[in-house]
Amino acid sequence: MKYRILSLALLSAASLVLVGCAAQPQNIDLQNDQGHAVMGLDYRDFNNAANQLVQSLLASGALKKDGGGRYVMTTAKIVNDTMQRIDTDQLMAKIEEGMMNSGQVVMTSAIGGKGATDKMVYQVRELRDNDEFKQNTIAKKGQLIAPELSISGKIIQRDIRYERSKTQVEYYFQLRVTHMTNGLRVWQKETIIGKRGSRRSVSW
Amino acid sequence: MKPKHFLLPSLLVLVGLVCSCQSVPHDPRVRLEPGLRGTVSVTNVITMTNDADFARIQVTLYNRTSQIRHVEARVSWLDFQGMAQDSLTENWQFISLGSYGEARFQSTAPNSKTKDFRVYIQRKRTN
Repeated sequence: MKYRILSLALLSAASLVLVGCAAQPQNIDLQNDQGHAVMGLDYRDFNNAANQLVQSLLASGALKKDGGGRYVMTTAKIVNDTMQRIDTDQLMAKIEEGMMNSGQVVMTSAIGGKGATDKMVYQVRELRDNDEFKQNTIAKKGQLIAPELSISGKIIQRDIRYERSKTQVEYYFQLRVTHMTNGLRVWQKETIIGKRGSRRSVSW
Repeated sequence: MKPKHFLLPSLLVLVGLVCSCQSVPHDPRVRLEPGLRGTVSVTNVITMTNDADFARIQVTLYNRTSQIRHVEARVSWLDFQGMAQDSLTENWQFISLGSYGEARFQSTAPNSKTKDFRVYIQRKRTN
């Protein structure tokens, strides 16, 4: 009986110690993140890629419209050619934000690579001839503005065997801006993010 | 030749040597981490505007040692009232400096109204 009580007490003490040692969740310091890099793509990679791409675009002066004013732009297709499930909208949201903050571009929600970014633009138009709505509050025909510029791109992943137990993963972020009137490409940029680590680290 | 005749040329050589090792006159807009001062110097700061009237800067860093140095820099772009502008450049950017090598770090303002800036440079800490 004594042994049973003793072993039970020891077990309880051991489990308490284990629970006490378990890592507590921590909020990430997004400005000064000293956490380890990961083989996949995380928010730091998206921030870096978006920063380099937007910086290049603004530095190029390609968004300066002759005669002043802002270009109307849409996001076309961004191809995810990686082994990861990436929501390309996540990358493009930062880039669109950077371009709009520049004051040189206004994005259209009426048309895009995946259809309208905001389906409500068309849903509202379906209310024409609906007696429940004041017809003079519904957008008239011929009001939408077509994009003058389109931005498209691709994210590519290459896995290369580096050493017996190490692998090298290269991510290529490619973006290009095309003028819709004449089809000419006015800007393009590729930025690379490379990682090297254990083959056991999953990069997809 | 008397020893005092050597004094002036020696002093000139010494001053020349000291000057060649110094960075450019301190630019208060570029803040180098104190711990880096013995190893990395800011040798040049260029400001300009591009065709779209966006301010651009280029900061040249010099590695004063034979070892590769990893530093990071971020830029805060400010409006005329000193208000920080929303910009992706607030993220730390990695810079690698080769042995006794130079690296040029560039940044473009997020919009045409932004003219002032602060550059912060520190030893690489983030990943």
